[in-house]
Amino acid sequence: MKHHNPFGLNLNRRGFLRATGLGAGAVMLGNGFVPRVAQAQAATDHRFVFAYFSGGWDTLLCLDPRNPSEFTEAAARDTKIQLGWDRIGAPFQPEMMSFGDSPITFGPAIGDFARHYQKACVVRGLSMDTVTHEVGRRYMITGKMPAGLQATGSAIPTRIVAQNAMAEGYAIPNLASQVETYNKGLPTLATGMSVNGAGDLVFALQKSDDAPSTSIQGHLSAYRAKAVNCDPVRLDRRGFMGLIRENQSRATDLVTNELHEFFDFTNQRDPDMAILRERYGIGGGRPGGIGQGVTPGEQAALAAQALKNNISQCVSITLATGLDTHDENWATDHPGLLQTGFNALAALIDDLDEAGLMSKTTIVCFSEFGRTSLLNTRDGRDHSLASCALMVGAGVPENTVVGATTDVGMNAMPIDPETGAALSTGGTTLTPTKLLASVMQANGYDPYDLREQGLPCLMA
Amino acid sequence: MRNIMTTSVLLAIGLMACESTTPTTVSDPAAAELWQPTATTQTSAPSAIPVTERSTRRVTVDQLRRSLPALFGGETWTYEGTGNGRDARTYQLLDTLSRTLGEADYNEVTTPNVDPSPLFQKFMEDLAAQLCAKGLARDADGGSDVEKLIVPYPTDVDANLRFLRLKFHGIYVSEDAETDTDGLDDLRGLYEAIEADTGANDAWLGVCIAMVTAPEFLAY
Repeated sequence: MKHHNPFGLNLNRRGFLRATGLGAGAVMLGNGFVPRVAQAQAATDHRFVFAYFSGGWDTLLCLDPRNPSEFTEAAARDTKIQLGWDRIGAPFQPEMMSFGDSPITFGPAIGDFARHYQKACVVRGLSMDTVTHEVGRRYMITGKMPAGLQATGSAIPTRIVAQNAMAEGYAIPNLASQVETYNKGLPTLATGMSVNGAGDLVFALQKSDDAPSTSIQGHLSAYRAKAVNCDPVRLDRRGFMGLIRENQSRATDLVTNELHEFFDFTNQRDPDMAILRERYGIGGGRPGGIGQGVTPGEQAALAAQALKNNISQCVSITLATGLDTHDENWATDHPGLLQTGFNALAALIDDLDEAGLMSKTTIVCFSEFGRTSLLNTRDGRDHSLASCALMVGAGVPENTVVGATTDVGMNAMPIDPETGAALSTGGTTLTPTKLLASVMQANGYDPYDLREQGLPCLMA
Repeated sequence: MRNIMTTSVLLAIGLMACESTTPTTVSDPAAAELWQPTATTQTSAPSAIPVTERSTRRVTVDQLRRSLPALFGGETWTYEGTGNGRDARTYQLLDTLSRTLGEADYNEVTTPNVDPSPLFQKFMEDLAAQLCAKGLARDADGGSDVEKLIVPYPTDVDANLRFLRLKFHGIYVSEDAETDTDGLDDLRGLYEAIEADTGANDAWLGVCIAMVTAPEFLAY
């Protein structure tokens, strides 16, 4: 899929560099100034949701299950795979879901998302190369392996917004709720607006109780329009003071546009909010305000509202927390947390579908790594190098499984990059970098800084 | 052998260059006091050192956390949660919103974000409005003029503007300064416009907000 820039030229970065004779220079300069010349070229209203399942998910329970009639407790000594589904109890059925001819299968905690299987691309055998939470999370957020614990690149949503020539049309182009966001040298406009949830967002976007009267605000605006900075020659050499003034104006717009109303899920007077609460399972009596709006349903509703109302191009949300279950809480907590997250995801897809937005929205679900295929001595699961990802929407091959894990010990297998079929030898390893490069490339964005091209099997 | 010859030639040229340099007396008396050339190669007083400056930066959350109480008599930016249950308490907003404002927690976020983003500016507007109102309320509570936080010179607008310019921006404006070059004209214009509309207290509130949200306050 290609997108056209505002001047009607169909360019990608390499085409641009070729056309201007800068290709060789780009190779030599690497991450220097040349790539920036070619940035901000995509012009698209394509939207993205990055949904994080925090703590390391059990892929057997959701995206990479095994048939319990074959992978029994008795066979676990040989398969090194122990489902443990008899321990999780009601309401979960200890069964693997399959859908006729579809290659897709789901575990018992997939929740309402099961009904969207035909839209899904399930990525299995994602090799995380780490079992450290921070490293895995930042690897999935940036597409680049961190240095130590430090993120080494910008977040993928930041990269996308930085390349979108129309990003200024969004009030908050890059919104990150409970998900880390990074900007390493990209334009400030692309920086993720980081909030803890809908409550913080409402607080940020609404007029403060302490705000001065409209009359004073009018005079302040007039003053700011003509006020000269104290020493423009020295302090404003790089336009920093001007940037502050410009962002002051944008901050005023954030408030005057009354965007907070789209995220105030506690509003009892707005009938649309009642529908939203019902769809996302948000309790009517929940308090609003700071620190609120953090449940999976509220996170999904936040994403839906930001996309449906053209407030954001990229939204990062957290659909599950507390998945790091090393003890018996694996059986008591993990399935329910997963299911709640996938239920919220299903509601989000329904919502975007009804709004006609799924055809131009890509949803990527991820966790920092998977969990071990054998239960440990405390009846929990530890960290595993192999993980999964789930993609839905535009640019995504539908009703597809890419990659696999071995039937002994669930190790990541190499794949054929064209077909996505698992191979016993040769092929390529599925990594977060390749996955995210594919997401960008499939939707007209250039993953140049990831140093990887998208895999054909991951792009529709 | 070739290397040795090359080195010797270069060394000889270097020695000749050194010998041809004659120490001279420094002509600038001020420099002469500090600089006594002896048998060195220095031939004149040091020229002016080119000024190299770091780029302008936005204040960090921690700088605000420490400076605001000093400016506003111990007051900080707070929020009275009024909802039911968990949020019915006083929030210290620089702490509650620290991550949103870009402060690193050195756990999940290890690099502070000091972008002057629209969100940061919005919060600075809120912060300024609340703290300036608190400052004016304290001024109204009494005390001598020298203890006033915002308006210690209620009868002399220019003196008060100069006071605020120094207090918030660290810019000293002398009484006989050319006001059109130090920003006081614009500030006086703002004061007079609001005063004509809604009175002096609102005018000082507006001036205070303008100064706390100005680039001169938020960047250094």
